[in-house]
Amino acid sequence: MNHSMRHSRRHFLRSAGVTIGLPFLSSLASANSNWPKPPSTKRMVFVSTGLGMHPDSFFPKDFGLDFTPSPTLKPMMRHKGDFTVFSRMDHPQIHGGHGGPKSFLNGLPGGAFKSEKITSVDQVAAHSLGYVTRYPSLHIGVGGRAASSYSESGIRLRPEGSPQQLFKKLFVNDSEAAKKALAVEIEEQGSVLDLVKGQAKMLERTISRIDREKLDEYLTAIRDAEQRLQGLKRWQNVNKPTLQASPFEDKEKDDDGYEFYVPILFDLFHLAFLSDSSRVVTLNYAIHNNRIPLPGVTSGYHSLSHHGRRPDALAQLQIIEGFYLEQVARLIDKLKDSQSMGGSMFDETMVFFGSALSDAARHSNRDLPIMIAGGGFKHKGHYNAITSHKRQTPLNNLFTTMLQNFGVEIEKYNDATGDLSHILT
Amino acid sequence: MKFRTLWGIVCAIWLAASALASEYQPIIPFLNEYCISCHGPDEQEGNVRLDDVRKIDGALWVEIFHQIDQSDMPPLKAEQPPAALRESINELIMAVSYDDRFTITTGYRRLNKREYHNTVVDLLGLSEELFNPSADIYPDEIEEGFDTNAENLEISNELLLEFLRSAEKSLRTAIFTSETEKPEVSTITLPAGRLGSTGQFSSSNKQAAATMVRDGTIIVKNGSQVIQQTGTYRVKVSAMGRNRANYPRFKKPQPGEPFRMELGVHYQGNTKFYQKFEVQEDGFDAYEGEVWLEKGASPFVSFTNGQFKPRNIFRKLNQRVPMPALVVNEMTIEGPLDVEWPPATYKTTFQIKDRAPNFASSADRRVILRNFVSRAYRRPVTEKELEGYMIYMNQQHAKADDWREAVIRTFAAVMGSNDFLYLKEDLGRLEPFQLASRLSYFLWSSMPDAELFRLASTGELTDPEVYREQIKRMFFDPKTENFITGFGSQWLSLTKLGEMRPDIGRKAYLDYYKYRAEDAMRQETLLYIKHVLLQNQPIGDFLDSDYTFLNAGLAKIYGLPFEGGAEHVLYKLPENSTRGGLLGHGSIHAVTSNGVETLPVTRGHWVLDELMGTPPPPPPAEVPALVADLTGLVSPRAQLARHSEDPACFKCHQHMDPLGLTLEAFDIIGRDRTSYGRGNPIDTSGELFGQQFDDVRGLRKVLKGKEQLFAEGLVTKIAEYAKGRTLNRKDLDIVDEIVSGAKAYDYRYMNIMRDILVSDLILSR
Repeated sequence: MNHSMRHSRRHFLRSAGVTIGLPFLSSLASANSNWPKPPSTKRMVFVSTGLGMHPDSFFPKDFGLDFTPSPTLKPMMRHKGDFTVFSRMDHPQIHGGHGGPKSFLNGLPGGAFKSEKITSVDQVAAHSLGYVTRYPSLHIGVGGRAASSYSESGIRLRPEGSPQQLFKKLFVNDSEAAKKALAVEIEEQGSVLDLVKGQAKMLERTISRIDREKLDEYLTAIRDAEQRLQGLKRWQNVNKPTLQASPFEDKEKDDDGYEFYVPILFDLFHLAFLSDSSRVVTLNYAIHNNRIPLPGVTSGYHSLSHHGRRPDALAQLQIIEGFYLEQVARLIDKLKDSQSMGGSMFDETMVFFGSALSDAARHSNRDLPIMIAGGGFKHKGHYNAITSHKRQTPLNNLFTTMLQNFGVEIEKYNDATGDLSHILT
Repeated sequence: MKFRTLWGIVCAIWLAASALASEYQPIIPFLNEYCISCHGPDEQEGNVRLDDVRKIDGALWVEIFHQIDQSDMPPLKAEQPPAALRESINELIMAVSYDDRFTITTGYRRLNKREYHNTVVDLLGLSEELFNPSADIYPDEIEEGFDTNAENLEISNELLLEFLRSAEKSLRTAIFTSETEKPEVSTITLPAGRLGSTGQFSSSNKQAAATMVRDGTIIVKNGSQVIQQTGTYRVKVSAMGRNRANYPRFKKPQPGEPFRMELGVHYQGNTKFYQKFEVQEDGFDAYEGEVWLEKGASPFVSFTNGQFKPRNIFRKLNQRVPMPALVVNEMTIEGPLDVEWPPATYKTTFQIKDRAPNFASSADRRVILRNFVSRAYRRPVTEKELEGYMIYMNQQHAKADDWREAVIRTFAAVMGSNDFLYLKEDLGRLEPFQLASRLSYFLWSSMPDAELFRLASTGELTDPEVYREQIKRMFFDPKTENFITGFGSQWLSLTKLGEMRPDIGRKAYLDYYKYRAEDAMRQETLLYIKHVLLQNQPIGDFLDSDYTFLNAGLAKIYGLPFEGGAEHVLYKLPENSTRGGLLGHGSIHAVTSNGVETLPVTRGHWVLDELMGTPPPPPPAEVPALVADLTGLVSPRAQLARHSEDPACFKCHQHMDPLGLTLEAFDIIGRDRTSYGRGNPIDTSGELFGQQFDDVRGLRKVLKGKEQLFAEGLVTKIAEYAKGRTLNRKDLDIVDEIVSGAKAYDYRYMNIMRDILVSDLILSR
């Protein structure tokens, strides 16, 4: 890209409406000749909403490939045939109302069975690859940093809070001085970990049965920290892929506007895949009661979700939920336009969308809104997942199939009763 | 792979067998036969699972005992154990429920974020004025109960690395920040050219640095380079106000109002304000204040009643008509004043009096290291442990060729060890050092101070006389505030206040923001708790009283006549007020609402569970909550009536719903209301413990009659907070003992605390 074009692009960003300027970011990247094509490999995207999807507007009334589009699904209809919406699917063990989101990606209730393995589906996938990419996984919270991802050691992960942070993480190299400082820090922390590990091991021999689990947790944290440092080390001298422009150079923009920064987040995910910086990403729209800054939305998100059947609240919810799906549809557009060394990136990328609540006003965790696109699956339009025993299909059955598709050898993930290969493959 | 699986099975069998002592073994086949089909791997009725006895805790053993004892379980439709077996097994279960080895959940726990913060401050003698040692530590995620509960306090690789990084940062703030000599007082004069102004409509030049807009400030250019020595400084600002009369339509300051300036400090991205001034208009005057400056901190002044950001049309105007401005032409910084040498941080960290240690001497290093590690570990350090650190320090010296660097890295390692990050207690009576930590983390949320350490090392702490004196001393130490806030705000869920704020766009709830209700409510409740504790009032005051703590904003929300200002004061309530006791606190009404609607069921549950300590069981899993109808056509009472249609719902809701409906007299931000609007009056009558009442005043009287029940709940919760775990049967017996003794002294809070502290609840693990 030559200088004058860059100039005019900036100019354009400044003068154009918020939503128009952004697609430039990825066209910029795909035009960037120093990015090699990413390897042919499977990838996963998990998008979840904190306060459900109003069921009446989300679920289509009929089933099959040619279902009648529901109001909320309209933006997805340009990808007809490339996605599946499931009815009658949920996590059978989850009945926690707002506690549900915490368990969304593993299907296990919190509390009672804490010591069980609670690794979330995204982390099972990420862990199977490790530091093959710079970031085994990327996590974003929109509107708050709630998460439903649990690491291999059962600890809840923390999402990034801002697109700026994610952008920096992916595409901004540290200064030479910072790199040196990091190298020193990695080494120093490595030797501290060695030392404290030795001491904790001394205690391991004498500690009582009831305290052992806690000490193990500490030792696991040390081991994980060592791996993390190894991962950092592996990538510290490899330059990050760079972009020639930042989407944040325009200071006048309302950074909090969803129409401005949510598309950027999805663009960054797309770029993370293109540059093979990561293969697993999650994005969660948090629970809060602030106004979601979209045109036509005037009330707090949580207020709206407690719609109490008021038409005005339902109309505003519709705007928000339609926006969520429009963003997913946009990401799919981009994936369809992108090629890996093996072909279409869309066929290699599983795009999952859903929520741990169905109708947030009921705090119900039954019949969740679930959709999957891409991944090379045979899609079914709107699929009724009710079982022969008139029960919902566990969401973990879908997660099992996603993991298998990703290349993880697994028969049943957590409380799955099977998989969905008979439907999707 | 095969081998590993097999090994896993072998291990599991072996563990299950060793999970209970041999005398209790018959319990396992009993549970397997009669219980686990509903409470096992396949089904977990009521969220109870009994297939792995290792995971049954003290409270659950007690529950199992009661269920079997009263023949509630197994349910009638299921196969019943023979009476003799029922009895003999239950005797064993009773015995287990008293056996610490199988009923104490872990109390080996990491310091929570609050405790970590306070401990680092005390360990290094840091000033909290500007520096925050836990700024980079991720907040604890508390699922249930207190932030002292070991089960809640997990550690991850991210958190561990944050602890390491924070430790190093704290150490670099505390030690080796200056040369080895006592610094001289010096004066730095900063002319206008060294000052800059920030804010969109500010300007600066060599003669005068001016700031105009409200959020504008005048700062020192390259400020972080100015202060090399931490200490107190006197800052003198030569300033004047200008152009008051300009900018007619939105002019600020208002007529008759002085120009206001505030002196503050920037440090590591944070801001702290110190002093306010009223600035003259005719000519420059000096304004002077004292501030605390860490090395690298930088003072500034801001124009606090300056013009708001002008609207577009005025931006152009501004180019011709200068806006009201605060002008500064010089700043001087004099200090450090009254400097302590060696600094407090050196004295505390190294435990020295006057002479700075010579790290080139191995003897000095050993002494310093021993002092530091024993304080960090809160117990005497063993020779073996010390040796490990000595070697490490030498290695670090070999790498960095600088003893100061080696000391910092070694101390940082100490602060990353499990002995620093975790509290460890052995079964049975606590030995003196463990007792000292138990006391100080309970009452102060921090490490023991020098006196507790001294008494622990001589063993005197376990002498009942000495112990009682220490309790008294600790109570009246300002650090007890950490107990009041730490326990109080979690006990009453005040930590959730603000999680679901009312929609700022809704005019109906604007008062919440206008009167800063969230802070005011939190203050009210915390001051109330503090009052009951330190004035040794009966804990019945939590249930009903004729006083509370108000400030002007809160009084507006409550609709009470009030003459004070922003400060909370003790307020005597009018006769027959709806306020009085915790049930009148807006904080409670807000946390039992969701920012949209009041939650009668949650409120009822709150009274039974958090206030009275008698939680109803969780709802059956398959039943979804009712959808609130907000159209205003059906009253909440009518909506909740549906709970009485189903016996499964009614069993618990008959207790919860009436309480919640009585509390409908308070809206989501704690204002009184008598109707839902549109002429729908609120019916606040209800019934509890078989006693009827018309409204919250009556409910309070009924609750006050249940002081003993309330005391049981409160003592149990305090003990859980102190012990960092849930209580077992033995503990609960002590709770009963304390509560039955407390009647004699009207359940006065301080006395109850004293009785807890001298009981085995505190003295034993």
